[in-house]
Amino acid sequence: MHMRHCSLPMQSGGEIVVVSSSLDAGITLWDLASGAEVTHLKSCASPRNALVCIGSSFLASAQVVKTGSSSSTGSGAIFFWAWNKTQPDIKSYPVEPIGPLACTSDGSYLAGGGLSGRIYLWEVSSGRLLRVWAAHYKAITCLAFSDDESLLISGADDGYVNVWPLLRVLDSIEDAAAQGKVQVASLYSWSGHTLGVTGVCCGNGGSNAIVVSSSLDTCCKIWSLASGILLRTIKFPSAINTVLLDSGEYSIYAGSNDGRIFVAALNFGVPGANVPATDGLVTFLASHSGPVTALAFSMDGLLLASASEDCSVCLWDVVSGQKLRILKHTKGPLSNLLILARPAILQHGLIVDPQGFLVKRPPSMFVASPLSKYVVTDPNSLDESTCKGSIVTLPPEGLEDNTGLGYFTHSLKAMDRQIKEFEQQGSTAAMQLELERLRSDRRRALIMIQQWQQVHQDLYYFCVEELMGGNRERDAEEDAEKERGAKGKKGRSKMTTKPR
Amino acid sequence: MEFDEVLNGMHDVRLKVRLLSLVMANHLPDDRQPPKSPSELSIAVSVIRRHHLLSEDSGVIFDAQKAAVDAWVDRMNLLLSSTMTEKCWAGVCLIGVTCQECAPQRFLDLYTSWFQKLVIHLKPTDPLFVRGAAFASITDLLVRLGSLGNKREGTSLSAKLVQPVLQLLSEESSKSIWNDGIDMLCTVLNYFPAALKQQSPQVETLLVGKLTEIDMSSTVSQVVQKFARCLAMVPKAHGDAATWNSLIRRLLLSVNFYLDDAFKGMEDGTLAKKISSSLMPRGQEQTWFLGGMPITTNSMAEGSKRFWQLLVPRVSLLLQCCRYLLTNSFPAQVPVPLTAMLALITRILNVDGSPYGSASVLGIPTSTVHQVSLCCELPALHSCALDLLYSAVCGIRSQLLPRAAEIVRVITEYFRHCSLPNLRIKLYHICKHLLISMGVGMASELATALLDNLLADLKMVSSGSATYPITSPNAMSWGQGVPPWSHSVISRKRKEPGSMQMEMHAPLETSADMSDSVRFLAVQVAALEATEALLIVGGSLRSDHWRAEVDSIVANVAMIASTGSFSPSLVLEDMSCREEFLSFSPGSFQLAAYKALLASLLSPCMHRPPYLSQALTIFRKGRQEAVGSDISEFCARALLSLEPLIHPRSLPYASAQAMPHNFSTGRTHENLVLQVQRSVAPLPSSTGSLPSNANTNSQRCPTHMIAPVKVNESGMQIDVEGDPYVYVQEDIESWIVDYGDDQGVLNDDNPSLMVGGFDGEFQPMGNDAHVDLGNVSARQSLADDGDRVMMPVFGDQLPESRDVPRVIPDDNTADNSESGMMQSNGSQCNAAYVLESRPINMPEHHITDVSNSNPPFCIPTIGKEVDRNIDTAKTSDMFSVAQAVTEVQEPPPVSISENLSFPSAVRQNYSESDSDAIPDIVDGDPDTD
Repeated sequence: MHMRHCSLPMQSGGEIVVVSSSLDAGITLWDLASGAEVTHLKSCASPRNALVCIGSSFLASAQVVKTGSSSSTGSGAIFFWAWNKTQPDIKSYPVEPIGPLACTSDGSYLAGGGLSGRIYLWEVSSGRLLRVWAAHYKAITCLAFSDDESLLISGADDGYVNVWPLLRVLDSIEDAAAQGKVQVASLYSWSGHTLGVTGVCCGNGGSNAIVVSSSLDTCCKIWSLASGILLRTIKFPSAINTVLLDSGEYSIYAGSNDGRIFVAALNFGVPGANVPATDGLVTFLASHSGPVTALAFSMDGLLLASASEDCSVCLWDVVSGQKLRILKHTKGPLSNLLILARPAILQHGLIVDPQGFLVKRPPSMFVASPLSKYVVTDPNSLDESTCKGSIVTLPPEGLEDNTGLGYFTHSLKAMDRQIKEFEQQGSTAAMQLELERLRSDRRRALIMIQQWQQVHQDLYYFCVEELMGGNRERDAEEDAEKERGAKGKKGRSKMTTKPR
Repeated sequence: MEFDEVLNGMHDVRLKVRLLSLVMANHLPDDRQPPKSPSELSIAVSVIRRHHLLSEDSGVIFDAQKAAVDAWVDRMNLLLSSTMTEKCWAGVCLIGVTCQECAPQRFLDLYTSWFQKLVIHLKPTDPLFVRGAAFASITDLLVRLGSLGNKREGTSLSAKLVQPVLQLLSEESSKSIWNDGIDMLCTVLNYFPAALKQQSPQVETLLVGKLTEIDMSSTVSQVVQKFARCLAMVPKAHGDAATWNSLIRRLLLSVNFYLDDAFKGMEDGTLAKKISSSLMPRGQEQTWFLGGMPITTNSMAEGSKRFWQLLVPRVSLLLQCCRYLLTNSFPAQVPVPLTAMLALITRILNVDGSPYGSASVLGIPTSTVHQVSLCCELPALHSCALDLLYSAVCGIRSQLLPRAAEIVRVITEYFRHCSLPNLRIKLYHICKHLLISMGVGMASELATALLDNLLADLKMVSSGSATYPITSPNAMSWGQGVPPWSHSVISRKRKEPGSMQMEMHAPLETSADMSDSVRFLAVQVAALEATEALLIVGGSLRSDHWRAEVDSIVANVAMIASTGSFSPSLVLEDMSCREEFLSFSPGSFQLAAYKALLASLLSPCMHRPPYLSQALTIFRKGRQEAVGSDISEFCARALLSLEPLIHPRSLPYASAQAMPHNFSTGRTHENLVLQVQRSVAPLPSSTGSLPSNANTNSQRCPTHMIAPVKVNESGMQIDVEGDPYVYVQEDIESWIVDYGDDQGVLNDDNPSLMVGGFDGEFQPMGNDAHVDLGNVSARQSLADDGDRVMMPVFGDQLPESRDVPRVIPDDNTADNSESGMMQSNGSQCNAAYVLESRPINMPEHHITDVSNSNPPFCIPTIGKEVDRNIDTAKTSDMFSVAQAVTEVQEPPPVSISENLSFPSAVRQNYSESDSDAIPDIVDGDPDTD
């Protein structure tokens, strides 16, 4: 329960803006409210769409492959950072350079898009590569999970947007031995864009969600997951690098190559912001001097952050369309932007839960392993360290009723039960109680007997002594007895007279 | 103590002090007097708990209260040290209550001394009831200590308890208080698991011994369950993944071994071998113990007489323990042997009592006795396996993803020949949770298997009551998926020309005759729940082929349920003793039906929900009829949920004033101009090429509603028909005035891009006038045209008009100073624009200067319309629910909003307004009259 409170962003320490650069400029974390730098994580040069948060424990980013090293090894790199360490915690080297990454919200699965058009799907906790499949003809540029995380949406340089049902993709019946050669059927394959796709974004609504894709052909296209058709095309004046839907899906926010962020209303006639419209179609927010590369919303949906290659992050008030703050990143052009709840480990001060109790920071139970390069098909060939099973986080609280483990009712229940039994004639407990009563009676009687015995003995000794004692004593006693007798008579006479 | 003062009433704090003294004087055993009746004690405890007499709050009379509690504590000590067993027992019980009730500081001061005194009474020489009470009281003490977070102290105290508990549980004579002992063990494992680190092998051995004990059946089942739960908690003592994994593997292995003898000759043994090889660490066969014996020797010899009696309890308890392992929290991530677990489940479910084909060839004799005994126990074994699968689904949740396809196959396969009601219920529950946890992807995989069964099960509801024919002709075309019990043909995987085949199925056939009995109602409830989940998760993804049918059957079932004639409470009387249906309460059928109905209405589809009006009637009736029940509560919620469906809206941001203060801190809202995110331009509708679903609607539409519609076909096609908001648009169109704005139109040569080209002569059209959604190709070709911007924004250039939220439904008078009927509620009723509809070949022409904030309207007949609507409202009032059910094929009650919609929308073509305006237009709100 405590852990849950910690993870609620509203109650704990606010939100952070996370940016990374395509140059080796690390990852910078700012506090969203104050704009103060929280921390800086080192050695990261990430391509676009390549920075993700894994669960709430790690940041992960694919790495831009340096030209020198890539020619020799040909492998890519994905680094994981724990929040409290500035250097990468886990480094993995997939077989080919990875561009975009996407992670499920609980941090279980990580998808990466390769340069060759293959998609890699890893289980984060064990690092197992579950499946590689050929998804596109050219390099994959963006990946996104649908809102229920059962579909993976990929966009690539070949202009296609494909939707993959993970369940079918992961079906183990299919022979997965051939890496990347497995033919996996996509649910949809949308070929509307004439140039490379740069961003995909999936809305809410489960099966009825919409998918928005942006492309270098200056269009954003809106697709329906339910029917698989193109719903709408929106043409912008400039090539679009990234696209974002607000949570109510009133508008699309598209970051363009010319530094503007276009706001296009999804519902007809719904202007997203109160900025004067340029051409009657869309409004835009303009501030950046370089291409806008990434957009993100704050948790309340009222604040939009945009990252640009002009090395700055702008925070916008969505309602008024005003620019609230510019965060300057001096180290390089920005390629990725995230807004996350501030992790507990990066919070200052004490965490107090609503009842006022101090919450101890729970140690993270989330485990991650280096991502493996190849698909392992035979479960028996896994080494013993994986304990022959997929690593799973069990539900935080027992699902079933805990039979009152957390309640103070044990003694009450026991008491009531026993009282009931006591009152029930002939029950074991009643007999026992009776037995105990009798026992204690017996004990008391025994004590009584002892007392009487004692008295008796005293008397006996006394009498014996009387009988066996010397004559002198007897005489004296006789005298005394006489005296006593006299007294007794007197007393008796007194007694008799009294009633009169 | 001073009792002279008069109290100020029951809230006087001094009352506590006096009551406590009274309780001590009157209800507690005393040193001098003989012991009172034990029931006096429960009176004392109830008074103490009711008034919280032992809590100490700071205040004026703090000292008096403290003194009173001090006296109470002294008395406790006195009682505890009493020689009389009964008084001692009273003291032990009351210490437990005191542990719960007293102030935290006092507890922390005193718990050690209490603990010492209670531990004395755990000795085996003490009478059982005192020991039981002492265990229970110590449990309470530990719970309190654990909740106060004192880990180290608690662990050291708990360590002293392990030996007494183990002793208690190993004594056969003290069976009656095992419950208290196991509770304490669970509590220790829950709060101070480290205390058991040393003894955990002992504890495990003992518990496994209990679970596999010969005469476990004589023990109370509740206690046995607790043993299983406790065994599942033992790995917490170490708290690492390896212990957890080792336990679950050993449990599964031993179950696997137990089944070997039972399934002999009924299966091909490869699966069993596969399971054990994947679970058993290599080379450790002899060193892996469960319950003090190597697992391999745990298997029972079939020869023993009680083999069949013992098999199911043992297997079910061990699997129960696995379930607890899966569903309870654990401080670390754990590796779940999913492959083996699923294989074991499959192994159990695959055995259906028919001899395995090659068994006779191999010379393994399968005796008839063996087969009969197995078939007798199989339902229970299958039930265990399904329970395990259910727990896996609940515990592992979306992390099952790599195995999800396998699970779907298992379920699909088993559904095919599962006919026992309680097994079907379990299957439905599994499906429900799979759908909810794994989303759309699961829905598309599971839908086929689920639907055949769902429809077949739900069909029995409708067919059970012949008076309610199925409304939709589609619904009559039942698929091939009828549950096995309604056919006598059972698809069998393994066919052998053997003699035994019908043996197992014979009892099932007879059960089919009781189609109206409660067990089938329970199945139907489960089926309805699964339907609901399916509609919630995957209602629109590639659902064309089943959606109409499901909607229709759900509506039917709900209508039948709403009559109450199908009330399961009547049927339940004679069957209430059946344990597996305990969760089935009267009214749950109705509730499940209503829930499914709501899901079918809300689940997105590309047309109007066809059964909206029936549903509204049902919900309204349910809200009124069953006040105080879950049903009325749910109906009220359902009506609320349907409201946005009827009045779709897209709203502006909340104003700065309306928002809580902390939300707007640091934000600038000065420039915030309230603006309505205006709804879409209405689409003219077409009657051409309706989808089949719409056809069914049209049959039910009142004929007077259907009138010639003039629709410009091209206008309809050009727009964004496939949009997910399209039904929203239509509904808005239905009652909100049209608007238009030529300035937003980009392509002047094609003005109909934005607004359907109405030709000005609008006439009412029927309910069935839907946008043609089927015409995908035309849409797509247009949409694919990259140059065309399909997303006009109307309002951007009209900032000043937004400030005047006026919609004046008055006869052509553009009087913006007067608040029209539609304006009365408010601020959100906004920016009205008027578009004069025009023929498509005509260039755009303005009727209204949109920058002018008082747009003229052409609403000449609004009054008439309202009148008519009120008339219909009356008729719909008179429409009784009984009629609703019996006359489904007659014109359905049309809700006010719908009724209003078409005439006003199509004829007037007036400007947009906010959703809230509707009640103002119509005097007779459907819910208020």
